[in-house]
Amino acid sequence: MKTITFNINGIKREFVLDSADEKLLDLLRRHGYKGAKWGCGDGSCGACTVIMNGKTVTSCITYAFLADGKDVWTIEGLGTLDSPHPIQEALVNEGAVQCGFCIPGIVLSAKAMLDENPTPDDDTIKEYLDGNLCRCTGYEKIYTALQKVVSKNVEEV
Amino acid sequence: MNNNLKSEKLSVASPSEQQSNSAGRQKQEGLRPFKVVNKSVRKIDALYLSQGKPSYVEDLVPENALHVKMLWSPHPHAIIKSIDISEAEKIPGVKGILFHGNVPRIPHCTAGQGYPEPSPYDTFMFDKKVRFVGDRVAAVAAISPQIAELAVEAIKVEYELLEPVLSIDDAIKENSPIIHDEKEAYVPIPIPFEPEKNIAARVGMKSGDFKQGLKDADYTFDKVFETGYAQHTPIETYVSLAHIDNYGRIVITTSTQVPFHCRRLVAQTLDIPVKKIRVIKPRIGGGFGSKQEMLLEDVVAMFAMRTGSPVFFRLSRKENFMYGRTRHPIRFRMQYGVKNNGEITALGMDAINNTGAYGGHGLTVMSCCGSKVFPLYHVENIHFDAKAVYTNLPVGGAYRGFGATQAFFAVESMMDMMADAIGMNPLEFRSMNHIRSGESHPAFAALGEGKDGTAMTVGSCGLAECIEKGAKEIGWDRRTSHKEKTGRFRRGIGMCCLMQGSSVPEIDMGAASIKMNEDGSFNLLVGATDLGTGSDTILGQIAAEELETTIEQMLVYSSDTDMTPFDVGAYASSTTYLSGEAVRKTAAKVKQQILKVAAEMLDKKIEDLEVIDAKVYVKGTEEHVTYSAISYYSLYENNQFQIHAVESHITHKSPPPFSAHFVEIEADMETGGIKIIKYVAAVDCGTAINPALAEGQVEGAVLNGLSYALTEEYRFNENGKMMNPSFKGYNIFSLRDKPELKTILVPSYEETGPFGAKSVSEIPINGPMPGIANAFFNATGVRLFKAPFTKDRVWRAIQQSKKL
Amino acid sequence: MKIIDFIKPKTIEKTCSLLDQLGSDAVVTAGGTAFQFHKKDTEKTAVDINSLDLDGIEVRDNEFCIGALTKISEMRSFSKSGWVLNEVAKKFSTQQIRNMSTLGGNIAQIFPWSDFPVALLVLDAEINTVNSKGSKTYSAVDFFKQQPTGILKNKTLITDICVSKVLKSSGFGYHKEVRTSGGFSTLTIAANIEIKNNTISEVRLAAGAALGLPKRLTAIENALKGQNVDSFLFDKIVPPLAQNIKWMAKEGASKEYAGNLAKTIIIDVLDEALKEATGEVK
Repeated sequence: MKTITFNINGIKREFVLDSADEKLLDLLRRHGYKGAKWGCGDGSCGACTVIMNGKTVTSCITYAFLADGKDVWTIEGLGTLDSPHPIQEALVNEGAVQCGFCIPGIVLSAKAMLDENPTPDDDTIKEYLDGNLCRCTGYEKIYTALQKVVSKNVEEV
Repeated sequence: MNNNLKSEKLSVASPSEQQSNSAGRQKQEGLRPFKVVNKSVRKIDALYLSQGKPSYVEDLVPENALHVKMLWSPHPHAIIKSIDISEAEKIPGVKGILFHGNVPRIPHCTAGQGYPEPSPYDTFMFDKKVRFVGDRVAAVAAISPQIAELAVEAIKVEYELLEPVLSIDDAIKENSPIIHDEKEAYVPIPIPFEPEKNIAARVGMKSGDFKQGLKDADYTFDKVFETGYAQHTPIETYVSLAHIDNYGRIVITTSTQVPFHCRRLVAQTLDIPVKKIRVIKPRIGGGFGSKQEMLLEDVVAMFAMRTGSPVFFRLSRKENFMYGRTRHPIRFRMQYGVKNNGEITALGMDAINNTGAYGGHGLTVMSCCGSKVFPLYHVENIHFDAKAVYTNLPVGGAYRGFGATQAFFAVESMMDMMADAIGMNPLEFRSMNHIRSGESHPAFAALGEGKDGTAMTVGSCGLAECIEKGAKEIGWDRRTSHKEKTGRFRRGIGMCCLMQGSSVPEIDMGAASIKMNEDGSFNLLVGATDLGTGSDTILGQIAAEELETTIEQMLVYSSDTDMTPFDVGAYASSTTYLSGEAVRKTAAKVKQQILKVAAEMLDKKIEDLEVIDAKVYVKGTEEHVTYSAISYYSLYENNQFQIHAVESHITHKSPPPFSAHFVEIEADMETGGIKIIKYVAAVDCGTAINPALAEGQVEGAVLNGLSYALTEEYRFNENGKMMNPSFKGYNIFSLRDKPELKTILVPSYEETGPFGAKSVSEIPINGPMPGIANAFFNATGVRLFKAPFTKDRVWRAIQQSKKL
Repeated sequence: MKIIDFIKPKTIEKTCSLLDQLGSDAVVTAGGTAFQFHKKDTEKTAVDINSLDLDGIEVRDNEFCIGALTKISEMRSFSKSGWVLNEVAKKFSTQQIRNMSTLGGNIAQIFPWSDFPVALLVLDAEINTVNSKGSKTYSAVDFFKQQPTGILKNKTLITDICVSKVLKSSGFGYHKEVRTSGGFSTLTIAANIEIKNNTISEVRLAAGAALGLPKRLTAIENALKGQNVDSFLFDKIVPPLAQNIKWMAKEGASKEYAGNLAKTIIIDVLDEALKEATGEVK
């Protein structure tokens, strides 16, 4: 029985693996963290994005055992209905959420980007978000919403 | 469920919202300017979706669910001589196996269409024959996906290989192998069906005198255009969950666009009564037409019924590409005649569509190549002959645009060719020829969906303004002839005009139910299906507008065959125009009941009362009762009854949205590369119920259209196997690939639509392919006839033109 | 490939002896992002090497030495005079994959789309390895002459990779031909040029994806070396030599197109490197 321990949304927790082969996505979803989604299984669509030690990863191809000892953040750790995260608020206000399947991944990619650099330029936004595929929105309003979050950060600086 | 109760915030207003429909609105005397409709209110589910709250099918799978894996055919065309499931059955954890020997053999169609479907019943749940690489052979339900997969590998199948039909040309040639030779296949309504010739459907029309029209022309044209396979690739693949409730009914929670059709199809395929089935659509991760189908539901339902356990089936991304529905590749032979003065004297379209191994949607897609395209321009002399042919390749289905997308590539390319021949600016050529408000076109009446079409006169038409605004935005006046262009990198500007439809008139129906609660809130129940498009929100807006209350007071629940009234589902650009009008009618009825109660409370006549912002006033005074007070009174105090109404709607016309797209590209003459510099989409969708969501539809459709034009393709090996079934091999755009896009919503007012609305979700996908082709010609003088415009193909076209 | 067990050794010595012990039952695991491309029906024990002190980029006088465990995203954000691999990292797959994948992982097994081998070939890279028998250094040319798994044989670890700095009067060019940002490469080209007195004193040119294994294009290099730089040089020299190379059809591009594309892209990349070398672009 293989166990691993990592911080999940700020709380240290022990997990029993289903198998040595288990991926982080399956482990998380099994434990109720359903915000990360299965979209492709090969790490190319980004719907399974979570943050591990400050960097986004595609959890569907990330072996769960590689998360041992790390700091993992999922969408569940970000914002509440009463008090949404500014990135979530911006996306919702802009009309950037259509089917929503890609959105948790997008929020986390944006958060990881802004944690590293609160005022990225347009090309940097595109680079950080290039692993989150969306088929509904054409990315237009997602992009505009993130630019607005960045503008706010620029003002505050 | 609606979670936006707390915040009254409206979103940041989109610029288009400022162009209110006051002009059109003013026509309706005595009515207030819009307070909810034509506002970019926050999508009611957006917040909880952005927080990843469990809401999609896979989020709802119980711990004890069985998992399904399917054995797919490795051959394009074969008879199953024998299947031995005995080894597979023995594997511990395997709970059920389905194959042709243990399921009912009931011919049906998997397409989600109205009954009886205008499609052949050529599909069996599991057949003794396989017709494409990826066709169903057998299914296993087991306690884990891994065990199910082991069992699939343990199933022994003996095939007798048959000669495959792997192209349109193969399908139509003499003595081609017959793909559908089963005697049980038939068509439920009298539509052309010649399976012995591999013809799944046929449609056509004639008007005027086509041959004479060609004779009268100063220039005639005869060109062939071809489009390829594409897949919708919603980020959520096909997923389906079934469980048995305490009454022994099968409850199917599934990612579908057509819950009611799905219920009927499952009943038909499993040979069980409709009442035994409940279909629920939760949140789904996109559809774009792919999920206008019963693809997995029959399998999960059957397993649930036989095992008693909940059953979950998720297609892998690879299976989604290979087994999922696709966009029909179509070959068009276009013949045109045009006079020097710009009059189009003849239009001929001979189209063959590759409908793949099964014929669902084959006819209707072909019909739309004509019905949603021909009326755009004045031309009386028309010849249209279209057929859908079977091949042993992945199956065509419904895909946003639905035949019009493919056809506009051909038609709008031809428009530019004609303009070029007579030396007219392509913008002027289109401007002089396009249909106007008050006009009709023979194609409306001639082409229906398996039945006669519906004659109609165009009501709202903002196309001229779309052209004007779009042209200004792109800088159309900067456009110079390709003849002046040299060098490796050449820029060009192209345009196209588009139309689509709004609903399928006389055939499709939608209904709504509204009941009132104590606090003045309302439950709005609709069958209409929100795929992420925001239909729950806009239907709530329509109801709120009619009821003169706020969106926050509308509690919208949709797409549950037990709880919500019927709706055909999300396709044919119907939801706003059809379901929206059903909602508006229902709200109007509820408002009458409210007035009646208020009259009783205030001891006045209804004529003396008026509604203002969820209160009923005695006209000209401050005396009023609130909606909340009215509800309390009606529920508890006197003459108690539930304020509630149900209304249905069928449409009697399919008013086209109109659009003009403009694109500037840069062509690389050496690599065949096409770079999008800027794309402009100007759209007339009548009243945009929610401008931000309408823009979102345009933006998403355009980006999809761009990759459809440039990068998306199915690559097959010599055995008809799709070789690039992943996002790495099948290329859709990321944010990094997104070009500059400007969307302009041009308001018009469609009298027959709820608050002036038409549709918007399909039309924009039609623009990129012809727009780019026309821009490419303007840049290089080279005409592209085959899509997608991959670099390889474009480079060859350039080389070819050098030889001429 | 299915992982049936995982072990995380703390030292290189331990790792090497473990690999000797497990032989073909082991799979060296850093990010694991390429495991999805391994054969399906195999079972392996993951030897998780993430505890080993093998990441980071060391700046030396004339070279950078990149620890095998350095993530592509780190290579992307690293910025120092003479460092060019950020350009390669920028085009590498997606952000999430850049965060998980390592340089060592990208070169330990070559796939047609592998990005870094092509660049390393033009940067005179040296690949340092160690196993229980000792250490050995390979030039990039030798390392990529065959599938590197043949050298590493599941027992040898890549410790670090050293690449030359691209300094004054030198320039680097790179192009990865993809349809969309996340797609597999049809053709990858890299070039490194040094200019002295307006002549090409040194040139390295390599291609991948549309070739079996990534290769230096020595015929073109030899034809260019010593040549006077003028605006027609590449147009004159490259096309006939590029034509002689057996390009492969990849990702929907035919062989003929790959050949045509190669000719154009090689010139583009050489131009880019030249511009940087002559100081036109920095």
